[in-house]
Amino acid sequence: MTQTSHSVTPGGIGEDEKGPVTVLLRGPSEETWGPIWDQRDPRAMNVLAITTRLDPLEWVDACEQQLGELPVKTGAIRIGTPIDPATPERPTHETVDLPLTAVERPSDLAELYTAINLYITEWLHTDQQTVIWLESLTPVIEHVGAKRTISFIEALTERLRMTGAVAYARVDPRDHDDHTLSLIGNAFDRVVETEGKAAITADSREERVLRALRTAGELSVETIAGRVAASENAHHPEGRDLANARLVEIDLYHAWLPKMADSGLIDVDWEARIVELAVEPTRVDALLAWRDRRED
Amino acid sequence: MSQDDPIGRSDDDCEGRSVYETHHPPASDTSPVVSVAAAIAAARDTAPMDLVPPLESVIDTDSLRSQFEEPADDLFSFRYKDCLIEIDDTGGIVVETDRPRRPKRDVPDRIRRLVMDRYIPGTGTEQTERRQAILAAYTYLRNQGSARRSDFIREVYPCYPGEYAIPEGGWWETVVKPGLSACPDVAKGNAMWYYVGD
Repeated sequence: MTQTSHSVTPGGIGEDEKGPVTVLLRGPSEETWGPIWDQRDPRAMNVLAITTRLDPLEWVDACEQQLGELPVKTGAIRIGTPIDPATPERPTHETVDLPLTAVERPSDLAELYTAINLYITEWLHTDQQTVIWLESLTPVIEHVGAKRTISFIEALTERLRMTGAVAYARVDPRDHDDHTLSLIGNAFDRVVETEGKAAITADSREERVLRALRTAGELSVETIAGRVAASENAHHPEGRDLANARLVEIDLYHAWLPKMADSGLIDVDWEARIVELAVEPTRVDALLAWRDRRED
Repeated sequence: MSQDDPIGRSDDDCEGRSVYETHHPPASDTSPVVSVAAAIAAARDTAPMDLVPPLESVIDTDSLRSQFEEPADDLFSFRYKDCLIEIDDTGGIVVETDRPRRPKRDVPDRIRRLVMDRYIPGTGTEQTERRQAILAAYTYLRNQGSARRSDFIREVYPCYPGEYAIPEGGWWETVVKPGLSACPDVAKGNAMWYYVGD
């Protein structure tokens, strides 16, 4: 029997041994992961991210930003489009120690199951719980229909119960009819309705840039754009389309970074496209705290 | 644009100048700075990130944003190198440059391979024509800098229908939209598609 809860922070999901092992998060795409971040200790988990739109490397950035550090083990499966080739400015998944598997066709559920099982099995010897994220069920449902998707979830659930792992999958209700959503929901141990409003933050892009640099000190424009996009997507109030890192990068380059450089907050090497914090981190803290108080 | 050639539109006038027109929709979540940068980049045959110096060096981008959000004037204009940019109070963007436009007709090999390797619904001939539709949409966007869904339907579909009777549904949803999404130098905002490569 599927249990449905309506909560922004579904407490205790998958935390105890008798808890659900499969959780369907129903909500706007950009909001739905918040409940997972809020409750997890990165030192007690291994995470397997199964991405459909998000670049696995952007996911690593978002994961680290949200948790403060990366989980003990991380891996990724990319469903659908091929992964962009590495460039000198852009690290490969190997340089960030992210084992990556590609499942090119969302319809190939046998390959997807095999890929997931390989990670679960490999991590069985660790002390951490394996947490699986499926960024979106939509491509799978669209390619194979509800019935085969449900069979896949049931097979996966059985394997998860045997190994003590848990899985979260997201579905945006706007992408499917009610009947399909109901069928899919019944295949999960628990369905959580997520809402976006509670997660609103008023951070401007300038503040997000400062937060990224406060931690790292120096970053490429491309990396900053990835982090800003990930942060905006994690807090978007109305669940609209993902902030695209490539478009954020153009906005930062042409508008925000020159302004911040003029105000003395950052130094920018425009040729190398490297940004460095030009003030002490404590001044950034004071600035951000002042803005937080002003917004309160 | 000629109905016979959806890719090679040239709005050159008789004096060799070219005029580039686009639009930033009010409902867009994407910064209007991106739309303006994409328009200038398309007019100058370069990538938005390869425009040096940044726009902020020649125009206060806060006032640029204001023109889209709460326009104070009927027409807002500024110059960026050899381009004259005019923005009207409806979000229309016009870039006029002295350099003649040279529409790109070729598709980079990596994009062609990517499209050829993609799963495309349909039988043999249908798949071939639908791949051509993706490549035509890509080339159209590459030359335009930015485009809305309706632009693709209006400008690309008539010449590359991919054996679909109507553009809505199969042609856009299962062929062109996912095909464009897979291209690494294409970025999608909530209301516009942008070409961000060079």
